[in-house]
This record gives sequence, C-alpha cells and structure tokens, in this order.
Amino acid sequence: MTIDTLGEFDIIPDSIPAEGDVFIRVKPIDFITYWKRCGIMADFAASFYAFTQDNPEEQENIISTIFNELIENATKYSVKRHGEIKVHMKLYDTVLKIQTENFTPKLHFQKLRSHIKKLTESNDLDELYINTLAGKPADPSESGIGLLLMIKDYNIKLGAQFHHNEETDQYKVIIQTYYYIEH
Amino acid sequence: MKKLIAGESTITFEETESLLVFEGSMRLANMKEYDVVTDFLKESSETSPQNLTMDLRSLKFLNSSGITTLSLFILTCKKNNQPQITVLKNDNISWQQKSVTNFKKLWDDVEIKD
Repeated sequence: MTIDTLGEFDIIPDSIPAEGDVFIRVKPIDFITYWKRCGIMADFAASFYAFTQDNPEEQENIISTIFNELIENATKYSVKRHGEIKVHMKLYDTVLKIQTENFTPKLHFQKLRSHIKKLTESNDLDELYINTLAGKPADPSESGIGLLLMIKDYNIKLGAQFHHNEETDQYKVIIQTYYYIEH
Repeated sequence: MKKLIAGESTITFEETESLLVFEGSMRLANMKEYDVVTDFLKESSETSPQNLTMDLRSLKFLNSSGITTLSLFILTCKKNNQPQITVLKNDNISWQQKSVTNFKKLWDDVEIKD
C-alpha cells in the first residue's frame, strides 16, 4: 500500500525509454563490512556516465557525490543487513535519474518521511541548513544534511514514495533524484 | 607536524603555520567515525587560538557526515569567537565549488579563498 508520495516523484516516468539504463542490486552487508565500497561503487557509477560529458572530471565528482549520498543513506537505514538495496540509474539526454529502493525500520521510516516533507516544502533551504546544524547536539548521531545539500547545492529534483506491506509489516522507501547535467 | 589518517584521507596540522591540510577522499561511515576528526580539529584550534587555515584544495570528496563535522567545528569556533578561520577551496573540485561557501553562512567571519 502506498502511504505517501512527496516532492518531485516520477517527473520522468519509467515508461519513457532511457538512453542509458543501469540497475544494481546490492546487500547492505557488503557496504557495512567495508564502507569504502560505497565510494568505489559511487565512483564507478559516476565514471560510467561522466566520461561522455563535456567536462568529465567535474561531472564525475558531482555524480559520485550524489550517488554516494544515496547509497550511504540506503545502507545506514536498511532494516536488515541482508536485505536488498536496488539502485536504478537512467540517463535521459541531459538528465540523470538515480533511484534507490530499500526497506527501513518503522522509526526511521517516520523520521525520513518527515525530513523529506520538510525538505521538499521548504522555501528557504539556506535557512533550513543553518537551523539544522545550529540545532544539533555537540555529539550528533547522524548528519541529516545529505539530501538537503543535494537539493540546495546541486539543484537536484528529489522525490520520495513510501510503501507499507501489511503482510510482512515492512516499510519501503523509494527515493528519486534528477540531476540536470550542467554544461 | 601532526598527522591524522582517516579512511582514505589525511589531515596534516602544521603548527608553525596554523595550517590544516586535508587530502584524499573523506567518506567515513557515520558521525561516530568522525569523532577522531572532531578531536583533531579541536586540538589544532587549541594550539592555534588566533588563526587557523583549513586547506581543502586536495580533498577530492567529503560526504555529508564530513561536511557536518566541519560545519559543527566552525560553529564551535563561532561560539568561542576564536580562532579566525580561513578556508582554502579548489573550484575545480565540484563539491568544494558548490558547498564550501556554506561555511560562511554559518559564521560570517569565515574567510574563503580560492
């Protein structure tokens, strides 16, 4: 059952054929065991698409940063170490769509839903950034600014969809980012 | 000279120049793992209470937990009103070109140089 859809979700629906289409399925345990693998996979994904661009080094750094934030989040908040994270990258001319899909614990599901609602409805992301950091304890347990920086600094369009499977009582989060490749 | 190795990155503190040089790719797993960086920055700021330069120009990547760590350090310096922070950035590295100016939004006294 779909619980909620927030932000700019499915602004390019799956039915539109892409010019590039990469699908990765990975288990959180791979990243938890060796965190460096997040960066390795992000760098791979970035170089896969960036080398064809006008300014490949710049694009590689941007795409790797976006991809890395998405898989770090999906890994940290997956319900089971042996669960699955699905990452779908599709290139549409000058737009790169990256979608992550994973199952999260109920508590994180609620926090993430509220966080994304705040992000996608904010009129002043700079103020949100400052307030988020200023309101943190000296020893915070989580950053909480990854997705915010994506939207604020990288001009990413971001959407999310939340599902609940009543049979298994699992909560699924799908996050989509649309990066408009700069030239 | 003091040196901290944090994952795929290093931070070197040149005490005589009040200079912190960041190099490599800093993508530690969570805020807890960044505690060593927080402690290293705190010790450096105590050694150089007047001025401190953070040279980020060779730092290829910094994840959001790392940006949070540097941001909280800057907010601590703001609270203590010292040291004066100068950040050296490299606009050829996209994350720096896009996100380093955020530090000045946290504390207007931060000086950012290319």
